[in-house]
Amino acid sequence: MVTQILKSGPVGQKKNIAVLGDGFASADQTDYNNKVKELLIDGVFGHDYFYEDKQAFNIFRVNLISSESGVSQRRYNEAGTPSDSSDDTIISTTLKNTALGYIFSGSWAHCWLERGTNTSTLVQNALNTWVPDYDLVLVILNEPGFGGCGGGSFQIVTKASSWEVMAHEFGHGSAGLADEYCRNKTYTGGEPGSVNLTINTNRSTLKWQKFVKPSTPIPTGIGGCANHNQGTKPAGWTRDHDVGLFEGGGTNNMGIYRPVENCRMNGNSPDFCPVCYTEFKTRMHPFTGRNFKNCYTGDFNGDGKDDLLVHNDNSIMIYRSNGTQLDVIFSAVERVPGSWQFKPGDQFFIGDFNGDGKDEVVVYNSTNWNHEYLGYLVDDGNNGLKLRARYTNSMPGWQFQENDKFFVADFNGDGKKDLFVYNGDNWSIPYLAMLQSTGSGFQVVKRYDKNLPGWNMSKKDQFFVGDFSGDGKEDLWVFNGDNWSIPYLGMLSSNQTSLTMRKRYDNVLPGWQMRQGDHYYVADFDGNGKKDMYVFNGINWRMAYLGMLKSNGSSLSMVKRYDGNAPGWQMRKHDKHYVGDINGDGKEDLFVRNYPDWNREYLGTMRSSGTSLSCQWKEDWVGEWNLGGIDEFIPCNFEGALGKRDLIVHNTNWLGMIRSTPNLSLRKIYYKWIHNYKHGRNW
Amino acid sequence: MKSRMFNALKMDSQAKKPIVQNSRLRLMSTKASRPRRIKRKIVLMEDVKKADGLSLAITSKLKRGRRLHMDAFTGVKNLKLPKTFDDQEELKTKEIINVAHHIQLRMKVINGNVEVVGARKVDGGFVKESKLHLNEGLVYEITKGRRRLQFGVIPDFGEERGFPSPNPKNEAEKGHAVSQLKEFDFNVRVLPNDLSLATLKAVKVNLYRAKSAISSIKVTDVSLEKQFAGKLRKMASMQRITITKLPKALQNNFKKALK
Repeated sequence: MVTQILKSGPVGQKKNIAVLGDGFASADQTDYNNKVKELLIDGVFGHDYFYEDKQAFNIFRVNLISSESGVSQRRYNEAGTPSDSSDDTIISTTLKNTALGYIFSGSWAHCWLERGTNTSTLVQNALNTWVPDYDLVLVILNEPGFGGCGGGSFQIVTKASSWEVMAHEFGHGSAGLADEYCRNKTYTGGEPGSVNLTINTNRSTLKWQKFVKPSTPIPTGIGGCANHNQGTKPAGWTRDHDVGLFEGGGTNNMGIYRPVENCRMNGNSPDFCPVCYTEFKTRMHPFTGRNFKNCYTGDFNGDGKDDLLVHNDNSIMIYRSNGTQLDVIFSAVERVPGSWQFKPGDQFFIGDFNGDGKDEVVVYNSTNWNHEYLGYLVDDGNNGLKLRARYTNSMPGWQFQENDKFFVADFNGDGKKDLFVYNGDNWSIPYLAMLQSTGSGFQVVKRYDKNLPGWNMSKKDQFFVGDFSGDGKEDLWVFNGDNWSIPYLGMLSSNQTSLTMRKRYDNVLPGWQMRQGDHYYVADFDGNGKKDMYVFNGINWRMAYLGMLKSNGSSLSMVKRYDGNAPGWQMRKHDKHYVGDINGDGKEDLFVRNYPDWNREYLGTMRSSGTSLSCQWKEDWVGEWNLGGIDEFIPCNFEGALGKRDLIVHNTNWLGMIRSTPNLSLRKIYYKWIHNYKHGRNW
Repeated sequence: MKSRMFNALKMDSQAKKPIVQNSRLRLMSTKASRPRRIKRKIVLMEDVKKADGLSLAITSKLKRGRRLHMDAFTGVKNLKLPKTFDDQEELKTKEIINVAHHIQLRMKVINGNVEVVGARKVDGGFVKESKLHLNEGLVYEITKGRRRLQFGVIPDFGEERGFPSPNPKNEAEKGHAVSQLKEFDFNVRVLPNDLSLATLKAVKVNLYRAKSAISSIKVTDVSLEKQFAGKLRKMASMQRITITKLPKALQNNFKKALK
């Protein structure tokens, strides 16, 4: 019987690990399953590189039933030379009837174990039958003694093996890494092909030179299996992450060098060093299928700094912000406990839905399953997420459909974010419902069919949320420029469980002729606690216009309109805006970018004084970030400073952290994967 | 960064004159615009007061004239959710008919010879790498005639390593006990359209060993041997697949896979 215990994707797109057991009788199967979990899932794939890149692997556990429990045994007379197998003689062999016929010897010189007469055939038959797509094979023997033997994409281990040694072995098996440990001999050969060994002591041509700090001496450690012994070891030096050039490695004591004092390819227990880690990442990146297209920000640990959630196919990763950089904190493939199973069509909505000061995740999928599902994921207490509630097809008062659109807003002012949900496509009439968060799930408290108060709903209604009345309850704004002969804008105030039309504008706003191509941005630009509105139109008039419409709680008034130019920014057709609070003064500002209308790309800030704007911009580059048309921006607060002055910028392969105060500047840039090297980077 | 050659337009922070984007369009005023006609009619929303109850809302006919409405809302109800949830239900699946697949060949290298030991059709696509990243290890290349079908790296081959002893009796036991392996296997994945029973005889597999590191280099249309001359050394090859010379079971597998 085969069970896929890690489902990352189609077998042709992943590295497939087959796990077989030998000597496990039917009564031992639970023991076997637990061992697979302990060694492989919680062990190897629960730590450093493999935890991050679970998505490159599928794991298939094959439950083979042996007739007898335990494996065959062989004892050698080692003739007083335990490390030399050539003079050994067999003392005894006790054969057992097991599924694969492995024989455990407990002799280091004999690889601890060996194949029986039919083992190769039995293993091949099992693989052909159960996991014909295997790339790597792990065989676990029901044997309490220590032992393990690997090579040729195989690893055979006993129950006493440790996951750390197995991870080291996977370093050979899946990344072609060399051993970095030393033995009592001197290397005399040429430059080794392995990425993590060298005989070259020239800094400028050293193969891992990009990871070596200029202040680190080269060589860094000289002599038999040396650690840092050239000059003073700097403060904060780590044995596994600070790269230099250390004599000893590849099972030699001298004449060859390794990149760090102690990597997993040396001492098994430390993390993989930057050189080995990068080799893994480079080789496996195509098999992870990852990119930075679907990014979301939220403060998942409540420290005031926005973290990053990246969704790819059937996985998510959460990266924790420390204010200046991001680090992997959670990696989930296929599902989180509870369970929610991730799919490419998942839509994520982030907010503090239970009022605990940390953001939670609502995820909706209406395309990849036989039913529509809405999931509510909360903190699992260990920096990750687990499912708290899940709704299938419907909840009382709302039937989910493919084109449901969700909006996060605390409409009852209880400190817990709620949801508005709208569907103008899948039914004969449009529907809008208010889904109140109970902290542990959602319930529909009001549904509007066809009409909102004072508003005939139509297909192309655009909704925005924001508390324009300043009563602590987030309200609903709605604009429609498509379905009627004139454009409409409605301001619907929330009274906790229902909506009231405060003001509807037909065709014209104060100081503004509404048009189909208007873009509205809800923002409290004067910092008075009532959300106001920026409105931009770049296509329907001779020139581009930007208006600042102030809310008095129940209606809008134009405080400033810019015709063609804002101070310091020439407005154009394809200007795209994002709301932030750039200087943390409580007056919400705009980020603005324009790619198509100029011969260079622009990213700017439009700071609000409450009644006017002042602009600054960067051209072409923000630090090392080369602005481009495919860039997406997410305003956020990864620094934990006042306001919302930061941007996550991302495209397929690149992700950047930009802050806007005092000027637009790049804090961090990542390529293909997010990792903070102590020195250097992966490109 | 865009080309500066054809368009010299740069933003000017001090610009006073607005940029006219379309001189045929009007300037904005503060007056209401003239309503536009939709299908020759003026369609307006109801008056604010009326819109609560009556409706002229646009309704659409869906699914061959059937009108679809949500079930009536009958007040606030809290759904009692289970503590644990079953798996989400897989799509029942119209897609299976057109699902992509590929052909997987299982290759064995034994005593320096490459032979094919398996063939099967596998659902789903596969990763077709475009860059060669090889530090130590082997790379295979499968070709049909002059055309490369696929290449891939085999990082671990040819040796068997015993784990270091946790209680070493001597210096050697602190490391691996290494011995040579006579054989190893690897998978080759190709597009179904690239192989047929008739063209199997034109299929060739070469196995190269890295002489020096090749770091993420884009692979061109010429053979790996040519592109990376001096960096790769041919270790073994299989010149053709002669279907009639394969074991019966494998012949059947090929026929099934390439049907």
